[in-house]
Amino acid sequence: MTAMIEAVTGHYVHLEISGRSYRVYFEQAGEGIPLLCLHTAGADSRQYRAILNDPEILSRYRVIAFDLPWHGRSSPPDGWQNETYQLTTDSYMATILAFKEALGLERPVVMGCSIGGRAVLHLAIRHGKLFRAAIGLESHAGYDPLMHPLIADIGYLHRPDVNGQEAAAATVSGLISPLSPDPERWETLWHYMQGGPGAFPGDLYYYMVDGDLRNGLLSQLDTKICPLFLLTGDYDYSATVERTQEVLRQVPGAQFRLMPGLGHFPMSENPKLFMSYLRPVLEEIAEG
Amino acid sequence: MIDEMVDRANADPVIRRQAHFVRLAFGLEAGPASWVIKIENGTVAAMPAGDNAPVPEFTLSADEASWADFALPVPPPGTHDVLALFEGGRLKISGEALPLMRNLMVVKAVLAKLRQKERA
Repeated sequence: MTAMIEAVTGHYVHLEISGRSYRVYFEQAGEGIPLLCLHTAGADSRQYRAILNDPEILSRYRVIAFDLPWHGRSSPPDGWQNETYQLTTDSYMATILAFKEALGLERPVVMGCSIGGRAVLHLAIRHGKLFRAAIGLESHAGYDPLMHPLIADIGYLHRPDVNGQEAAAATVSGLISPLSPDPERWETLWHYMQGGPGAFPGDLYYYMVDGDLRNGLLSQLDTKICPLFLLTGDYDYSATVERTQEVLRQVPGAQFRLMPGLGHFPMSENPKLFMSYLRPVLEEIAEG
Repeated sequence: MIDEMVDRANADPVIRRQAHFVRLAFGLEAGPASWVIKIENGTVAAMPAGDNAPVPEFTLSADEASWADFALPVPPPGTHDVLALFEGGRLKISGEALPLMRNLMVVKAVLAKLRQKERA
């Protein structure tokens, strides 16, 4: 008997980003239109494992997912032990563009979830001509969580007397739909439990502070240059449907797909259901 | 409701293992009813709030309807998690945040036992 071996291949690419060297891990599969996938805060490219194994998508798309530096199998830079990681809009954009250039991706479709869903908005605003289309999963412009005043000063995700990995998983567990299958739910949480110390709160700096798009910039997003598709699950209490619709109101031409039964991690928590919402979008982009 | 939650929690070997390393008392309020949930020495216990109960480090308060929705096998969006209830304005958190966030995994696991078919 021969064991099943996935067609996914993993590689390391060496990038120079803002004068620092990074060794970045990525996985890819398929042939055709490049589809660049961005993971959520505190996680890694394994969230896209199902898309990387979907024969129908791989017949038309080259799916590529990389781990941000400090995440998954991408190392932090030399000297990381002497600094506190913080993802900013500029550093995030520079990383994505450096990766795109290094792989020679010609006008890829970019798809991101949560912080990645915010990033596709920033990319479409700043660099829309470089992308064939943008797909935002659980995208919104920003919000002020009620939880923030309670937790602002305690740094519970990165302090010596708290298990940051379990705290991270517990923080996001309720963002997963109760309808999502247990194996996929716990795989998703496992990724959070494997995050490096400080990586998740460092990403949240972009999500909560630096990447806030409630500043009028969304009006500069031109969907004639970079078509925008927004897909949001109804169990997501962070990137709620209402918050996604606030983006829609500011971006003429953007398209919205409600994803009933899904939460904040659609591609990872319930890939089968998510794919039923994603396939028509990818088809429309491919034929557009 | 609370007694069944405690029984189910104590029958769960994963919660028992976690509880072995936890020493925590937190309040749970459902409308006018209130309890203190104590996790200590590998065991979960509940008692009515009051003079004989330990002082809770934090308290989770919601109306009975919200907890009833939370306890459904498939809760509707916004009621499926304590933090979802909180962000939706249906649950109040009072007291110290650090003991809650430090023990969030086990607290959620215990509260999930309010459901017949639990979900973490």
